[in-house]
Amino acid sequence: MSATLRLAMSGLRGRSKVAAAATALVAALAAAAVVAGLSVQSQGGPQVDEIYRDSGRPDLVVYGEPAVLEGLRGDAAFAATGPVTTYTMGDVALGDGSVEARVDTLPPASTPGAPQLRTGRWPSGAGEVVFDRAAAVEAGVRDGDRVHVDVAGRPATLTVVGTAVDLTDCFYPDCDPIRLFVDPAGLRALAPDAADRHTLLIARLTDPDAADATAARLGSGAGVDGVQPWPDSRDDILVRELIFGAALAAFGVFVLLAAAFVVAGTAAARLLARRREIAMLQAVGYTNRQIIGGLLGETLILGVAGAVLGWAAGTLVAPSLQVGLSAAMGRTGIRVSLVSLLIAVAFVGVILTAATVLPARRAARQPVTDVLRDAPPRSAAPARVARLLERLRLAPATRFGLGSVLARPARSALTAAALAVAVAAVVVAGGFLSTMDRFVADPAQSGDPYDAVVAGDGTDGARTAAALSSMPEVAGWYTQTDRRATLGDETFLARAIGGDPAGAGFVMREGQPLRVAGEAVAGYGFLKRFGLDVGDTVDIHAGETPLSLKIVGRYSETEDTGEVLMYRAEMLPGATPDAFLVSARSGSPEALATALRGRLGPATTVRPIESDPDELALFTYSMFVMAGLVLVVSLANLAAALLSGARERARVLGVLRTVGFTVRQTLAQSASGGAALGFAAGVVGLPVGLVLFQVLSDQMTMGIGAGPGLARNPSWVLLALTVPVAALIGALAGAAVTRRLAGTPASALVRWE
Amino acid sequence: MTESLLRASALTRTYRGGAREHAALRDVSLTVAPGDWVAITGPSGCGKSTLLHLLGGLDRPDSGEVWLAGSRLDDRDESGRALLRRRHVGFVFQFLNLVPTMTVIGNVELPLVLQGVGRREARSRSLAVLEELGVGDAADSAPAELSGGQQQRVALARAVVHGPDVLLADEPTGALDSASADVVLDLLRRRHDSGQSIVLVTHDHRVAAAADRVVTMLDGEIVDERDLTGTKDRPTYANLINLEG
Repeated sequence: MSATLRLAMSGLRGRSKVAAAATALVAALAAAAVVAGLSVQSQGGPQVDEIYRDSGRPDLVVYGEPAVLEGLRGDAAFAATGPVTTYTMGDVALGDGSVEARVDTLPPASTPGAPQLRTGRWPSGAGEVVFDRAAAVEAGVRDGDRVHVDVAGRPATLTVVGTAVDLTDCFYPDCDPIRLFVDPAGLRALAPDAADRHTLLIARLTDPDAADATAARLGSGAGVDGVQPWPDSRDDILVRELIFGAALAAFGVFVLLAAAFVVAGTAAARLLARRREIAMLQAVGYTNRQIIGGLLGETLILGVAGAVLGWAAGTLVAPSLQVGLSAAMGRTGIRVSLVSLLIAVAFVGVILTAATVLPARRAARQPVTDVLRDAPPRSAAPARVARLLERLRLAPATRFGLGSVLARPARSALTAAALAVAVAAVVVAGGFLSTMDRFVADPAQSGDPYDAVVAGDGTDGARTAAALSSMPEVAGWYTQTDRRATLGDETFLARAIGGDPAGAGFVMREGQPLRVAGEAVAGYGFLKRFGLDVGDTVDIHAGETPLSLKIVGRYSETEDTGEVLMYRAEMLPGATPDAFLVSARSGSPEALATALRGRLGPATTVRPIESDPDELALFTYSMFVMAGLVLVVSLANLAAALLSGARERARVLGVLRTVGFTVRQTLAQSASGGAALGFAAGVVGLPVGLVLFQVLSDQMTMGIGAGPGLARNPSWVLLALTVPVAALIGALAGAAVTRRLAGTPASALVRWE
Repeated sequence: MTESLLRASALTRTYRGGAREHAALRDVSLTVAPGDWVAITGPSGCGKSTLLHLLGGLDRPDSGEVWLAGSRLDDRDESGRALLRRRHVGFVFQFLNLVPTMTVIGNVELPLVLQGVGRREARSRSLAVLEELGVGDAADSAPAELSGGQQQRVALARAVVHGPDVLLADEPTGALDSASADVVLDLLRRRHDSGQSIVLVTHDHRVAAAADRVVTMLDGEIVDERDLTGTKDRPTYANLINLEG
């Protein structure tokens, strides 16, 4: 065994088991968080791509007239298509409300875009339905349940015989309508009137990368109502995984940073305690390099063991952290990735190496003779610190406590830094939660400034508009008519807005609201995608209609990753509104929906706006767990640092007791030191956390197409309490770790070795 | 009969480490009158420091009593003993006496600050004692900037600055070279001449010979006690032993 390895192994044997376990645990936590975050971020893509392949690569979904779609089947860009499929639109009761549903006839199983059965069987007659898998999981619908469907005012009850995943759009609840599948007889029973039946065509392209360009070309053709390219659907499906995975990975980095400071602080303390042993090794011929190598080896053995454990834990936990896909596709199995193991080990290894080598170099460079004759470390207690504290005229206990912290500036800085990371993590988590609350409480932030939706299908628009305008419960309303539009050879969602959009409460981030024909307002994702700014003019095709629009404002929108352009409905004459979006004067969305149903009649489909608290709960829970982990790691480190500091100073504490320090003053001095560290951590961690939060949240909101500046800082209460609470926690930790020493007789303290 | 300043009666103290027990003190009694200088001497492990710690209230005996300035010390809790010590006792140890994160003046004025003496008065009294002990120039230095002898003088200054009834010193010259030890011994002698009671633990018979009374301990018991006040020209205790031997 080499001398260096022998030294590393002897160091491991000499360590307390608790301290060794703590180092390994910190490395494990960091690795687990990073692996879980990366895994959540990266697993969704392959999972979606797999089902895309299983579904026969549905690159394009074209909505339009049957004859036109039939004609398109021979398009040169298409490698294969399914048959032109008939569907109808309706509403299905789900939970306490209802949701828009597209009821399709089943295409043959082998055609592109055929839905993938997840449970049960396909319908074999009228009265049976296969339910959208994502919606079924979300609402707890199981095979054998009976569901109530309403198509154009005709209610029907169907038996669920299975659930299936469909890739013609992203999954509920991010996207609706949900998809239901019935056999042709079932569809005819639901929608006997041909006017209620529509058609779509799903195609596999020869060149999948040309999906957008093909969609743009086809979208402007006569008889085509809309085109949905697969890349858009894929992005929408994965947006939650990206956000959640990024948040997890970011918190993993927080844990890693905290771990780095913890390990560096622990290494510094341990090396100080072992300085005599190190000097002895130097005396018998160990070189500085061998000593540093041995010390590093000791840390790395623990770190790598921890990283492997953390990798295993992260791999095990990752499937249960999937937020969007799991609903639609079920939990993925555990995916063992050796690459992520290597990344975790490398990450932890680099951090631990940096955290160990610096103090080890310092320890190895201590003059051997000084150490062997027990001279105090040269860096200890600089006179200027002592003089500074004299000038502050503090109480003796406070002065001694602060002096002890300042006498070991490097170690104190590392301890405070670890705690500052935790403070920053709490601030970031608080900010995310605050922002989530804002999005939930104010749907206008995500582009939905309304409380209830009145479906446009099958309603008399003029009558509905008149009714809405006369209702005292209604504060305002507008209509929307969606069209896949093209700009150049790319497609996007264009939305014609009728009624009073300026008064609708869209959150304008820049420029002015949409007021007159010829103007448009856009989401951040749209402007970014096409390199446009507010003030620019764009020429688009909304369906077949060419439009020239001046972009007068940018509003907050998350649908279609913000790639939405809104313009006045007057520019799309004759188009029937897809929906009326209604704001309540007061009261809940449900109360408004009830009032609307009462006024517009049972044949009109009305849905109150919904949030998605379940997934938010998982997100919130994960945030708390991650911030809590960082906090626990940092507090444990603070306690360990304060305890080892108190033990190092035990003899001095004994001297103070001989002078007349009481037990309370002994506790107070340690509490003062802890409070100083906590205060420093709060003062540093708070602004760092706020800046990090702004950067991370802007990245996130830009990633979902809503644009920067949407995040809301943590509550003022949290911000105001951060520094005092950090100081208080430090003080309590300081007092807690010194309790035992404070109860030790002074005679034992003055003899402390 | 002179009233005692410090009285220990029938003290026993046993240290326990696992299954092993070590009787550090066995039925030890000692009385110190105001103005006395008592040296406690004996080989390592004989219980000298344990006795000193019990006299100063740093520890409590398993049995027996300690009375300091008319108050019973051994039945008080840690803080109670600290408060009594704060007023009546000054301590000096062999080494590492000073708080490294405080300046010299900060160390010295500590007992006064703890007694509630005003900052200005505490400073002037501390400076006066430091001047008296020849380390006034080092008032604003950190302990680490001083030599061992200077540090011990600062420790002595801190031990006497508040005018304690008794100065308890545990091997105060043990870590010093002979020149520094002479200086410290001379300072102790001067304090004693001005009425300071001193109880001093030492290995060094030459130091013990400076005392009025020498108590010799062995295996936790007092085995010899002799009064040197009448000894002509105060020969060194070592020489005295040789002469008697």
